[in-house]
Amino acid sequence: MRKDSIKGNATRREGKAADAVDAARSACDRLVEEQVRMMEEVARAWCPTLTAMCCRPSRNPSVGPAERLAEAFSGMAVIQLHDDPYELRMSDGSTVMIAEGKSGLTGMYVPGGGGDGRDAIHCATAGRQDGTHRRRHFTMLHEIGHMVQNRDRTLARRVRTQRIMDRHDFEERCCHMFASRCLLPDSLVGRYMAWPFSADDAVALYRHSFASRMAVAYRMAGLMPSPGSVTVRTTDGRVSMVAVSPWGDCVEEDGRWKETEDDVVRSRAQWFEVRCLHDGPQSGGAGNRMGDRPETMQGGGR
Amino acid sequence: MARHMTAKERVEALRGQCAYHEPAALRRITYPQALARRMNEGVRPGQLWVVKDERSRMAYVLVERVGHDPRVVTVTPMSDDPGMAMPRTPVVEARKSPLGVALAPITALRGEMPVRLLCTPLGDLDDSTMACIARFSPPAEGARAEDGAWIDDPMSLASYADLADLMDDWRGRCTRLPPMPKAPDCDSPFDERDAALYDMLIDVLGLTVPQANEVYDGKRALDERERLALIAAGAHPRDLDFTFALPADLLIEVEQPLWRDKVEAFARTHAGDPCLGLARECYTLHARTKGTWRDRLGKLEI
Repeated sequence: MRKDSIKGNATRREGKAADAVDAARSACDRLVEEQVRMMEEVARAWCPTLTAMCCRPSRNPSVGPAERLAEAFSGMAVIQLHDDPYELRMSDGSTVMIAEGKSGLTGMYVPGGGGDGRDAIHCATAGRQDGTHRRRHFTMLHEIGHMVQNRDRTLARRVRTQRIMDRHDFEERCCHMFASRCLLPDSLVGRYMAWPFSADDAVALYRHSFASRMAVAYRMAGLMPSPGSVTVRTTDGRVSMVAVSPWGDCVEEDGRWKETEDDVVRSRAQWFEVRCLHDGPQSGGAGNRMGDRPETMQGGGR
Repeated sequence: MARHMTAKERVEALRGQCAYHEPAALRRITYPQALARRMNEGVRPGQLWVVKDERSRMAYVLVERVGHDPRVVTVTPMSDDPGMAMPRTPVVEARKSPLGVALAPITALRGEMPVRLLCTPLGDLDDSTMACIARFSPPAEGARAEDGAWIDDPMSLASYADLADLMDDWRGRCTRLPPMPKAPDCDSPFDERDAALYDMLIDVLGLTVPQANEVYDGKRALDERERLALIAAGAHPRDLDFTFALPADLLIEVEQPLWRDKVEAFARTHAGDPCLGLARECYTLHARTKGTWRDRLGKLEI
């Protein structure tokens, strides 16, 4: 089956379905996307090499985006990476555990927690899902997202005065999307993914990025222009998680197909399973969809 | 020969609560595990509760309805003295009563009260009994005066008047509950007035962005000089309390009787509405933990 590029599809859909895309997006999605766009601008103003730091491969396998970002933002925050479960005492006397599987907490941003006008960011580095420590890169960027939204005047005001979403949910969702876009920018995604998406695309994107399998799954599912999903399985075949397209999945909860099975493109490679309705609605999905403006990588990188 | 109780003795028994109830029934009701189970089940129609306010004024009530705002319930006060029953009022027989003694609903005093006043769950009435009571409308004032044998008893009249005053007081508290957040406005995602106030913290008071965040988030109060400066610049005094909107589901959860002990503990060391204060503490915890509001409230240590 001939694959069209994502941008080619986007161009063909633009004239006919742009209005439908806007209509389909919820006010929440628009608000989050606008906030994340502004976050990216602010973050790049603070750190012009942000994209390269998040995507450029390193000769030293133990140095990745988390380590680079910790150094780059050291003037604004005390950033600590914790290998072991770490108990953090808060200013109100309570304690929280920074570690996977304990309180569910993997990172924490503490405004002013670093002293001398600096914030504090703590990240747990223990690998969990894929055992390759990739989660810490996402966590670091997520916490930097909090710092951006609380240090920049415009972003801080927007977080506090928007009245569509719960404030914490809004801030968290923006941080998630910010981290996802930094690790998997449009330029990188467009290089390794083509519609209809396949599990091989997901594997390629995973191998050429610092994103975790979960992050790749969510990013791919978010870009699907039709119903579908991306499933991540563990090495022993158990389902680890499922990311569903904003248009829903191809199957009902009980496993029955929603549409004619022949219209669904299915593929499986290594940890990923992808299914998508190739002849479904031809509008772009909400959430993490690729914008029309291409990302440009700063500095080196592939 | 058993001596007939005087009205005074009946009233004292009502105020003393459970003073002459069957020990077995009392033990069953107040058994810790049974109490904990009923507390966790939440508030719903058909339940019999002891109500107790901060001045230790108490009454039995039957929950008839949970309001559209779940922080408010419609209740009918219940008396364990069947002599207090209105003419032709259905009386709950002892065998159907969770207390093991007959209960008389005082339907003329049916009304609303904040759910936070519910103190001890005593058990449920069956559906048919509940339906019978809920359907009953109290007779007109004249009929009560003619048919109520107890009306001639000044002690019964006094206890009825006391109970009427209590219900009036408790009903009035419904209007003083913390305001629920405004409904989302997708056409106008930002509150312009709040945005202007945020900017004034920086432009008028010269605060940094983190300092403005602390004030806006309610973590630091304005001093008198700062308040006057903002008022001089055009801010309205009532806007300077910065009671940012807490999520509706948190405001509802913290009012539930399950958290009464924590609310009372919080009230002993903090001024102001203890439910609102506890909700704010929990909301801060929200940024550091996963789970429902119930989970987070459970983790709070006061």
